[in-house]
Amino acid sequence: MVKTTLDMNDDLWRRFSLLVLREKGERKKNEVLTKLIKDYVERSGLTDDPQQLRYILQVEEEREAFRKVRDKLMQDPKYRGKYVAFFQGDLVGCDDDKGRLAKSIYKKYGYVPIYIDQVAEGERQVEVPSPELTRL
Amino acid sequence: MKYSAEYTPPAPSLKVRFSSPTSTHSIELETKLDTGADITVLPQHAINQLRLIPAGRVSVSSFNGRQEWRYTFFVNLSFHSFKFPMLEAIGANRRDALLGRDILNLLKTVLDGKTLNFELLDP
Repeated sequence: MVKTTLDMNDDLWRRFSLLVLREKGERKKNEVLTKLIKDYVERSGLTDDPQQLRYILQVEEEREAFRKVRDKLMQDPKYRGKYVAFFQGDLVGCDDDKGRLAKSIYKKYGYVPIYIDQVAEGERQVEVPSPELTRL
Repeated sequence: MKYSAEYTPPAPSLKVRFSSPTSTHSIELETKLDTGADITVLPQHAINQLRLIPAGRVSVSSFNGRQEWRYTFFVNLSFHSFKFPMLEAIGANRRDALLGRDILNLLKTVLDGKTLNFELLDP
Protein backbone atom coordinates (compact mmCIF):
# COMPACT_ATOMS: atom_id res chain seq x y z
CA MET A 1 0.00 0.00 0.00
CA VAL A 2 1.18 3.51 -0.84
CA LYS A 3 0.37 6.54 1.28
CA THR A 4 0.34 9.85 -0.52
CA THR A 5 -0.75 13.47 -0.11
CA LEU A 6 -2.77 15.55 -2.52
CA ASP A 7 -2.76 19.31 -3.03
CA MET A 8 -6.12 20.57 -4.17
CA ASN A 9 -8.48 23.49 -4.00
CA ASP A 10 -10.20 23.77 -0.57
CA ASP A 11 -13.67 24.25 -2.02
CA LEU A 12 -13.29 21.29 -4.37
CA TRP A 13 -12.21 19.08 -1.48
CA ARG A 14 -15.14 20.27 0.70
CA ARG A 15 -17.63 19.60 -2.11
CA PHE A 16 -16.10 16.18 -2.74
CA SER A 17 -16.23 15.36 0.99
CA LEU A 18 -19.86 16.43 1.19
CA LEU A 19 -20.83 14.31 -1.81
CA VAL A 20 -19.07 11.23 -0.44
CA LEU A 21 -20.65 11.75 2.98
CA ARG A 22 -24.09 12.10 1.39
CA GLU A 23 -23.78 9.15 -0.97
CA LYS A 24 -21.48 6.72 0.84
CA GLY A 25 -21.40 7.70 4.49
CA GLU A 26 -18.60 8.53 6.93
CA ARG A 27 -14.91 7.74 6.25
CA LYS A 28 -15.40 6.57 2.66
CA LYS A 29 -13.30 9.20 0.83
CA ASN A 30 -10.35 6.83 0.53
CA GLU A 31 -12.57 4.15 -0.99
CA VAL A 32 -14.08 6.57 -3.51
CA LEU A 33 -10.68 7.99 -4.50
CA THR A 34 -9.25 4.49 -4.94
CA LYS A 35 -12.14 3.55 -7.21
CA LEU A 36 -11.77 6.75 -9.24
CA ILE A 37 -8.05 6.10 -9.73
CA LYS A 38 -8.68 2.44 -10.60
CA ASP A 39 -11.31 3.42 -13.21
CA TYR A 40 -8.97 6.06 -14.64
CA VAL A 41 -6.10 3.57 -15.02
CA GLU A 42 -8.28 0.81 -16.49
CA ARG A 43 -9.90 3.19 -18.96
CA SER A 44 -6.45 4.16 -20.23
CA GLY A 45 -5.81 0.57 -21.28
CA LEU A 46 -2.41 0.61 -19.56
CA THR A 47 -1.28 -2.95 -19.03
CA ASP A 48 -1.26 -4.54 -15.57
CA ASP A 49 1.48 -6.97 -16.62
CA PRO A 50 4.43 -6.22 -14.26
CA GLN A 51 7.06 -6.95 -16.93
CA GLN A 52 5.31 -4.69 -19.46
CA LEU A 53 5.12 -1.94 -16.82
CA ARG A 54 8.87 -2.22 -16.23
CA TYR A 55 9.47 -1.95 -19.99
CA ILE A 56 7.19 1.08 -20.20
CA LEU A 57 9.04 2.85 -17.38
CA GLN A 58 12.36 2.19 -19.14
CA VAL A 59 10.97 3.45 -22.44
CA GLU A 60 9.69 6.59 -20.71
CA GLU A 61 13.24 7.25 -19.43
CA GLU A 62 14.59 6.90 -22.96
CA ARG A 63 11.84 9.18 -24.20
CA GLU A 64 12.84 11.81 -21.66
CA ALA A 65 16.43 11.59 -22.93
CA PHE A 66 15.13 12.17 -26.46
CA ARG A 67 12.96 15.13 -25.40
CA LYS A 68 15.95 16.82 -23.74
CA VAL A 69 17.92 16.92 -27.00
CA ARG A 70 15.09 17.08 -29.53
CA ASP A 71 15.43 20.83 -30.17
CA LYS A 72 19.17 20.46 -30.69
CA LEU A 73 18.64 17.55 -33.10
CA MET A 74 16.05 19.62 -34.97
CA GLN A 75 18.77 22.15 -35.81
CA ASP A 76 21.00 19.45 -37.27
CA PRO A 77 20.26 18.50 -40.90
CA LYS A 78 21.79 15.09 -40.20
CA TYR A 79 18.88 14.28 -37.86
CA ARG A 80 15.98 16.57 -38.74
CA GLY A 81 13.02 14.57 -40.08
CA LYS A 82 14.73 11.24 -39.45
CA TYR A 83 14.03 8.55 -36.90
CA VAL A 84 16.39 8.26 -33.97
CA ALA A 85 16.81 5.54 -31.35
CA PHE A 86 17.68 6.09 -27.69
CA PHE A 87 19.07 3.43 -25.40
CA GLN A 88 20.36 3.97 -21.86
CA GLY A 89 20.00 7.73 -22.33
CA ASP A 90 22.15 7.90 -25.47
CA LEU A 91 21.36 8.37 -29.11
CA VAL A 92 22.37 5.03 -30.59
CA GLY A 93 21.02 5.14 -34.14
CA CYS A 94 19.42 7.20 -36.88
CA ASP A 95 17.65 6.19 -40.09
CA ASP A 96 15.00 7.37 -42.56
CA ASP A 97 13.11 4.13 -41.96
CA LYS A 98 11.93 3.33 -38.42
CA GLY A 99 11.58 -0.42 -39.06
CA ARG A 100 15.11 -0.67 -40.42
CA LEU A 101 16.36 1.36 -37.47
CA ALA A 102 14.61 -0.89 -34.95
CA LYS A 103 16.00 -3.99 -36.66
CA SER A 104 19.59 -2.70 -36.54
CA ILE A 105 19.30 -1.60 -32.88
CA TYR A 106 17.78 -4.91 -31.75
CA LYS A 107 20.54 -6.73 -33.64
CA LYS A 108 23.20 -4.68 -31.89
CA TYR A 109 21.80 -4.50 -28.34
CA GLY A 110 19.35 -7.39 -28.21
CA TYR A 111 15.59 -7.14 -27.71
CA VAL A 112 15.64 -4.44 -25.03
CA PRO A 113 13.54 -1.33 -24.29
CA ILE A 114 14.62 1.39 -26.70
CA TYR A 115 12.79 4.54 -27.72
CA ILE A 116 12.36 5.41 -31.38
CA ASP A 117 10.87 8.70 -32.51
CA GLN A 118 11.03 11.11 -35.38
CA VAL A 119 13.05 14.30 -35.03
CA ALA A 120 10.17 16.67 -35.70
CA GLU A 121 8.13 19.31 -33.93
CA GLY A 122 5.38 18.09 -31.63
CA GLU A 123 4.32 14.55 -30.92
CA ARG A 124 3.54 11.85 -33.44
CA GLN A 125 -0.19 11.58 -34.00
CA VAL A 126 -2.23 8.83 -35.62
CA GLU A 127 -5.95 8.33 -36.19
CA VAL A 128 -7.87 5.14 -35.55
CA PRO A 129 -11.32 6.63 -36.00
CA SER A 130 -13.66 3.80 -36.96
CA PRO A 131 -16.51 3.47 -34.46
CA GLU A 132 -17.60 -0.12 -33.82
CA LEU A 133 -20.93 -1.50 -32.72
CA THR A 134 -20.83 -3.87 -29.80
CA ARG A 135 -23.55 -5.95 -28.24
CA LEU A 136 -23.38 -5.76 -24.46
CA MET B 1 -11.91 -14.18 -49.26
CA LYS B 2 -15.26 -13.91 -47.51
CA TYR B 3 -16.30 -11.12 -45.17
CA SER B 4 -16.56 -12.31 -41.59
CA ALA B 5 -20.06 -12.65 -40.17
CA GLU B 6 -18.55 -12.27 -36.69
CA TYR B 7 -18.96 -8.53 -37.20
CA THR B 8 -22.26 -6.72 -37.56
CA PRO B 9 -22.47 -5.71 -40.34
CA PRO B 10 -20.07 -8.26 -41.84
CA ALA B 11 -16.51 -6.99 -42.32
CA PRO B 12 -13.45 -7.92 -44.38
CA SER B 13 -11.31 -9.89 -41.99
CA LEU B 14 -8.60 -12.51 -42.22
CA LYS B 15 -6.19 -14.51 -40.10
CA VAL B 16 -2.85 -12.74 -39.69
CA ARG B 17 0.21 -14.22 -38.02
CA PHE B 18 2.13 -11.89 -35.71
CA SER B 19 5.55 -12.59 -34.24
CA SER B 20 8.07 -10.87 -32.04
CA PRO B 21 11.00 -9.16 -33.86
CA THR B 22 13.57 -11.48 -32.35
CA SER B 23 11.71 -14.71 -31.73
CA THR B 24 10.02 -17.40 -33.76
CA HIS B 25 7.13 -17.47 -31.30
CA SER B 26 4.02 -16.32 -33.14
CA ILE B 27 0.26 -16.12 -32.80
CA GLU B 28 -2.53 -15.97 -35.33
CA LEU B 29 -5.21 -13.34 -34.85
CA GLU B 30 -8.46 -12.47 -36.52
CA THR B 31 -7.65 -9.13 -38.16
CA LYS B 32 -10.14 -6.69 -39.59
CA LEU B 33 -9.23 -4.44 -42.51
CA ASP B 34 -9.61 -0.83 -41.37
CA THR B 35 -8.99 1.76 -44.05
CA GLY B 36 -9.66 4.48 -41.47
CA ALA B 37 -6.79 3.39 -39.24
CA ASP B 38 -3.45 5.11 -39.87
CA ILE B 39 -1.65 2.33 -38.05
CA THR B 40 -2.10 -1.40 -37.38
CA VAL B 41 -3.56 -2.23 -33.97
CA LEU B 42 -2.76 -5.28 -31.84
CA PRO B 43 -4.85 -6.52 -28.92
CA GLN B 44 -3.13 -6.11 -25.56
CA HIS B 45 -3.35 -9.86 -24.89
CA ALA B 46 -1.24 -10.50 -28.02
CA ILE B 47 1.37 -7.99 -26.84
CA ASN B 48 1.57 -9.80 -23.51
CA GLN B 49 1.68 -13.26 -25.13
CA LEU B 50 4.44 -12.29 -27.57
CA ARG B 51 6.31 -10.44 -24.79
CA LEU B 52 6.62 -7.42 -27.08
CA ILE B 53 8.65 -4.50 -25.76
CA PRO B 54 7.38 -0.94 -26.31
CA ALA B 55 9.57 1.21 -28.54
CA GLY B 56 7.66 4.46 -28.89
CA ARG B 57 4.60 6.46 -28.01
CA VAL B 58 2.01 8.16 -30.20
CA SER B 59 -1.10 10.22 -29.64
CA VAL B 60 -4.10 8.35 -31.03
CA SER B 61 -7.31 10.13 -32.09
CA SER B 62 -10.51 8.12 -32.02
CA PHE B 63 -13.73 8.70 -33.97
CA ASN B 64 -15.06 11.24 -31.45
CA GLY B 65 -11.87 13.27 -31.45
CA ARG B 66 -10.74 11.91 -28.11
CA GLN B 67 -6.96 11.62 -27.92
CA GLU B 68 -4.96 9.21 -25.85
CA TRP B 69 -1.39 8.02 -25.64
CA ARG B 70 -0.55 4.53 -26.82
CA TYR B 71 2.76 2.72 -26.83
CA THR B 72 4.06 1.34 -30.09
CA PHE B 73 5.69 -2.04 -30.69
CA PHE B 74 7.62 -3.45 -33.60
CA VAL B 75 6.23 -6.74 -34.82
CA ASN B 76 6.53 -9.04 -37.82
CA LEU B 77 3.29 -9.93 -39.53
CA SER B 78 2.37 -12.27 -42.34
CA PHE B 79 -0.71 -13.55 -44.13
CA HIS B 80 -1.09 -15.61 -47.29
CA SER B 81 2.15 -15.00 -49.20
CA PHE B 82 2.68 -11.52 -47.75
CA LYS B 83 5.32 -10.76 -45.15
CA PHE B 84 5.80 -7.42 -43.41
CA PRO B 85 8.78 -7.36 -41.05
CA MET B 86 9.33 -4.76 -38.32
CA LEU B 87 6.00 -3.04 -38.59
CA GLU B 88 5.21 -0.46 -35.92
CA ALA B 89 1.83 -1.14 -34.33
CA ILE B 90 -0.08 0.13 -31.31
CA GLY B 91 -1.85 -1.85 -28.60
CA ALA B 92 -5.48 -1.61 -27.55
CA ASN B 93 -7.94 -3.44 -25.36
CA ARG B 94 -9.80 -5.43 -28.01
CA ARG B 95 -10.14 -9.06 -29.00
CA ASP B 96 -9.09 -8.79 -32.66
CA ALA B 97 -6.40 -6.87 -34.53
CA LEU B 98 -6.88 -4.09 -37.08
CA LEU B 99 -4.96 -3.94 -40.34
CA GLY B 100 -4.40 -0.23 -40.98
CA ARG B 101 -3.36 1.77 -44.00
CA ASP B 102 0.30 1.31 -43.07
CA ILE B 103 -0.15 -2.17 -44.60
CA LEU B 104 -3.19 -1.68 -46.84
CA ASN B 105 -1.42 1.07 -48.80
CA LEU B 106 1.23 -1.47 -49.80
CA LEU B 107 -1.39 -3.68 -51.44
CA LYS B 108 -4.36 -3.54 -53.78
CA THR B 109 -7.55 -4.05 -51.79
CA VAL B 110 -10.80 -4.94 -53.55
CA LEU B 111 -13.93 -4.78 -51.40
CA ASP B 112 -17.12 -6.24 -52.84
CA GLY B 113 -19.80 -5.54 -50.29
CA LYS B 114 -22.52 -6.82 -52.62
CA THR B 115 -21.21 -10.37 -52.49
CA LEU B 116 -19.34 -9.97 -49.16
CA ASN B 117 -16.04 -10.92 -50.76
CA PHE B 118 -12.70 -9.14 -50.72
CA GLU B 119 -9.26 -9.53 -52.19
CA LEU B 120 -5.79 -8.42 -51.14
CA LEU B 121 -3.34 -8.37 -54.02
CA ASP B 122 0.14 -7.20 -54.85
CA PRO B 123 -0.14 -6.86 -58.62
